[in-house]
Amino acid sequence: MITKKSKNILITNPKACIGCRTCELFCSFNHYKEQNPARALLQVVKDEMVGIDYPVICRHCDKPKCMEACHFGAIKRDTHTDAVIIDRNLCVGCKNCISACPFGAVRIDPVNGEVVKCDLCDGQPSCASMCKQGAILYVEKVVAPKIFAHNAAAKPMEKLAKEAQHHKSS
Amino acid sequence: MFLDGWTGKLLRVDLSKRKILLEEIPKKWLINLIGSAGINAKILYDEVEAAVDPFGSENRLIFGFGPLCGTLAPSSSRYTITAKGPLNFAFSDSNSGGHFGPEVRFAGYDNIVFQGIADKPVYMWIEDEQVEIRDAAHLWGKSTWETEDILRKDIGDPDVKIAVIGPSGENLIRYSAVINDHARAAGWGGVGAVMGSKRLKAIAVRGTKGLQIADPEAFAKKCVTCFDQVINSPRMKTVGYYGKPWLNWLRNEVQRSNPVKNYQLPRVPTEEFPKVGLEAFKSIIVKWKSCFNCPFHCSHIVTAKAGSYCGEIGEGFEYNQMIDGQMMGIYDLNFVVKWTNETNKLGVDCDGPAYAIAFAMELYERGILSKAELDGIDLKWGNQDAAFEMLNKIINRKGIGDLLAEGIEIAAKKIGKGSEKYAYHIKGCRLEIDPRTGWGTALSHATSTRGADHLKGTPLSNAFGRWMNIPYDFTDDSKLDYKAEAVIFFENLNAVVDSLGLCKNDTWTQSAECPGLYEFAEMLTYATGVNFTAQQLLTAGERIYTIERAFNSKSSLTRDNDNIPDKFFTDPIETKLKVLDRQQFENLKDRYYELRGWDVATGHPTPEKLKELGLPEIALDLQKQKTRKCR
Repeated sequence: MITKKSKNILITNPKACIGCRTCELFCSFNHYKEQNPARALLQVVKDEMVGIDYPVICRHCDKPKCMEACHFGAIKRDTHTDAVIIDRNLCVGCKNCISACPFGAVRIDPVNGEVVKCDLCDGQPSCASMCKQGAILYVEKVVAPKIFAHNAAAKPMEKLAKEAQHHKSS
Repeated sequence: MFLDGWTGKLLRVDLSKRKILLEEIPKKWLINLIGSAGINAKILYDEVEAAVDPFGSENRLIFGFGPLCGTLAPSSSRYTITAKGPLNFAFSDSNSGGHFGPEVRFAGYDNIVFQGIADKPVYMWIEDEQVEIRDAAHLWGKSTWETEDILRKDIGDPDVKIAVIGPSGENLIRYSAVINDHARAAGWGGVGAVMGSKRLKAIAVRGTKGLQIADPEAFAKKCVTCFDQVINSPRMKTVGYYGKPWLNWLRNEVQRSNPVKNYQLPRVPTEEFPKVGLEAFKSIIVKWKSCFNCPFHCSHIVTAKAGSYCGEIGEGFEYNQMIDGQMMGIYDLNFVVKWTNETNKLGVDCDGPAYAIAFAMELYERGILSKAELDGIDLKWGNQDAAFEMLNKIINRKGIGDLLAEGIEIAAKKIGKGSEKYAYHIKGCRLEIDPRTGWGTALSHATSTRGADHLKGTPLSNAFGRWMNIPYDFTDDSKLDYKAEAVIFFENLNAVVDSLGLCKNDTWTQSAECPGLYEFAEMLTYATGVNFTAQQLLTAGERIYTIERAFNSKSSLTRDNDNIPDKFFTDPIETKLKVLDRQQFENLKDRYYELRGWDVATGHPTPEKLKELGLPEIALDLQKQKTRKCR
């Protein structure tokens, strides 16, 4: 059987985030069968002063800084999902990757103290499937920019449509 | 692990002795009372005697976190604070959301009981098993928002969850709230003032233990289905989109009862309504906002767009927030943004001062209070600056503010001069929804254990009809059909929702299409491994509500306290019902007590009923209290 390589990427739309942390909850459940956002591999960072919620996720970069920073080759790429993952056998727990990640996406498990990160749940990330707001998306790489293009165009297009209608009726 | 689903652990904190005890909650309680609000009520009954002063060291401040709180179940954010209330001097509980409740559960606790009074200000730091009482001298007097910021820095973790009181609670303003996540308030009944009386400034918590459940696969599957049920419910398109301002529109434009100017007007005048209507609200929305694990997002981040508060960022609006402005004759959502922020910072229930000020505005207009008696403030309807000036006076208990800080019932008694006539309250608690809306509303507000309240038993959905399998139209509240039955059903149902740790907003309480007793039973069974049926849950709800009522009976409240201010029996408005009829109302109460198995003359739960519900110890205690009083 030929296993088809996943074409999907994980991407966020912070504007749509409502700060419910369902992603954190389901992430911890998917990985450890426990309901424990402290163990989640992603985090919604909040600033209640301005009412902003911002999902911090691993972007599984094309040139991952965490991988570069690792002296032990413990950070690898999953051949099936393209996820940037940690090889438990090689990781020494030096935390270089935590400092190196520009997005703050590498984490420490509060229960066992291990350095951990998102593994894309074998191609079925529950954070994205449970995000009913579309703030975390798991979509085809080529489709992702289109979603943002469509979102950005929606308002001006509505305005143009109204103008066109107005033109017709006058 | 004590049990699945529940953590089974209760933290008892004696602030006088500075002692912290870890107790196990009896399994029988968990099964019979579900958790959170239910267990809180039982602890309050067992530990607080009738004569206890709400601000005394013998009063308890009980936090409850239900078995579904913090779980995958949709809207699993709610927690309940229970105490003998300083407004009604009887049973009082208040429910709040945000992210605080789940965090306490992740730290491993189902209930926290505070007793005694600390000799100086303290706060609690809970990190899983590690629990400390810490000095809070540097926090006393600080606003809730400042306190949160300082504590996060002190602890060194930007993500700890904190429940806190503000200057309002410290100064024992009788309608003080406990605030968490900046804009989540347990505002009902003055639990914040009880916390202040114990000199407990805040509870900060970090939980990393998580929650285990009996059948993870089945539970997760059911919860995901419930998520979809919420998302696909018709309510998602109304309250899910607009939040509670939609209810304000519904009440004002369809039901035609919406308190304005201390009930002088039955609804917002047509020419003013656009300023507080749906379009006006839409124009200030920045984005949706929700509590923990909730797809329903009834809240919004909003920004004041005009006036002197332009640029103010706030959160809201709840239905009651919308009324706050209207009650004071202020038809301006920009004001509401500012008002909510200020009251949240001060740690006061945003409605408490609004209703007290509206009451004072009426007295000023009628000449019962003079400008001099109001410390020179021109307290005219619609005067925004005067409202804020008065808010400050109330929180600092200065001048007339000291009087209004006592709540409208006590304030009216002290002012006298016929002012009692304009103090619209039930059991000391402000009346938020007009009882002339209909019989269900009227009866549930009168019988509510914690005083005038629509979230204890007002039929707000078709769930009763669905449960009984009868055509029951809750929207026509003018009819007398099944009203007592429906109110009892909703009182029991809401006790269940509160005890589970779920929100009423996207469950049967407010929409029959959202998850209800059947879903709860299934979720709770999978979570705990104990078999629950829908009927069993509803009986537990009855048990809980009866305990609440028994506490009130112990506190000498009787049928006479289940009353509604005279105005609503004499002044007709535009609703279908127009005005309440005294005889019909009393008949409805008779029927209610009969169905409840309570004594019709006194409104007290009968020994037979208490025994039937498995509460013989309460039956015995109530009997003892009666004999004592007879002597």
